[in-house]
Amino acid sequence: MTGRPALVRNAVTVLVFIALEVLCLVMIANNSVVQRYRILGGIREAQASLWQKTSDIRYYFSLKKDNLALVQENEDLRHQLSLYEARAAQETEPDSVFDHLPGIYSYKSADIVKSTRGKQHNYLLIDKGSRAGIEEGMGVVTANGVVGIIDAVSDNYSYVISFLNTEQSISARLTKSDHFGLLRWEGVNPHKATLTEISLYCGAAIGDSVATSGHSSIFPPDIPVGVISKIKPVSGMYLNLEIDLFQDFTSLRHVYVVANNDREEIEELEKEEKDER
Amino acid sequence: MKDNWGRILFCAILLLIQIVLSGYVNVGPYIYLCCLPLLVIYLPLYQETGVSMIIAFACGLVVDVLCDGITGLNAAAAVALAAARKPLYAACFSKDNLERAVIPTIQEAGVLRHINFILASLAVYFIVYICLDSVGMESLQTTLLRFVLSCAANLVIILALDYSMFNSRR
Repeated sequence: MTGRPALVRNAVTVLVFIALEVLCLVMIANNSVVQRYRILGGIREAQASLWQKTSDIRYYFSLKKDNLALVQENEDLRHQLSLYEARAAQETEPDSVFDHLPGIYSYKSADIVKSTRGKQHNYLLIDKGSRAGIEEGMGVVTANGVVGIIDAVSDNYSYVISFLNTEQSISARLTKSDHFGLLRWEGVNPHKATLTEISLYCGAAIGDSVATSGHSSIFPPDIPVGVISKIKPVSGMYLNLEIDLFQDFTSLRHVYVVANNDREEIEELEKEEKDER
Repeated sequence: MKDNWGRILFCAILLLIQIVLSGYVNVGPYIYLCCLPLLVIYLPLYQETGVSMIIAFACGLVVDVLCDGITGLNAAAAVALAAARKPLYAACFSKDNLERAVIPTIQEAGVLRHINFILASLAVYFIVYICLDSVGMESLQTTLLRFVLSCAANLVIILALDYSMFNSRR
């Protein structure tokens, strides 16, 4: 009775039971219209449920492929969007003497390989490096805000200084009034940051949204960053605004590295200006 | 050999009683009188469950055909009871009895345990029977009433048959 014979015997018993019950159900279905209708209905329902489950499982296993395709599509769309934005800006300034628009951004998707959150100086490691065209100083963003800035690049990986770094700050503006200031993380709560040195007369209110200003060659303008959750006047001169960040750094997985195609030109100009002084 | 003939005779008598009950005794739509569960319960315990199920299936089929019901209904219920018989037995009586392959009498096991075992067996039988018969077409109240009344009526019949058989054997 022990080991395999018992197992085989149990399996045979179960098979006999299933076979006899199925035989009974077939006989019942053949002898009564009502029973046939209900039994066939039940079988069809079970079949549909099985197909649904199979389809769900197949769908689950194809998610990675679909996800990659979506990321690629998103990357292309972001690039197209930046082109359209640049074209729209050009059209709204017909008298502009500039025939070339600065700040056309291109995007490249990347996955986070490693990240820290609980420190004062956090960083991320992404799976794209110089082979993918990534360079130091490029921005890293998602649809929910700014993630950080590329600090070092190897062939296949890049080291990103996270926005959750007390030494990092980015230029951000109030979308309602266009007042801008420096947004920095205070080193405590990963869901909150402070927008500093905002004019007292900006008319900021709790719930107003904040976006990137575009006043740097790193991040494109108008990436939503968060909303005002607290307003603190500082020495009667200006306001510090506490911002609830849209970006949840605890669940970050995919990011976009954003490259300003005119960055070199801008930096060269800045360098010349410095040298002249 | 003598024992086998005894069992065949026992089966034949029960089937005869079943035919009489189905054909000539009308107790309304809520009660289904059936002594097939007794036949399945008293199949020898040393027999493999698979063999018991096949015997139960055959007896159920005979009842279905002779009693003019839906073919397969009693057979399905009897097969389910044959499958559940040993676990029910182990739950209601001690496992020693299962190893000895002896069905204890009311006097040995006690009235309460014996009734528990018969009731549990009837419950398995009638759950399958009533579910397949009504296939969700009847209301829950009707189904429950049918189940309770059938179990109660058959319990009385089976205990009566059981008692008379035990006395005649002794």
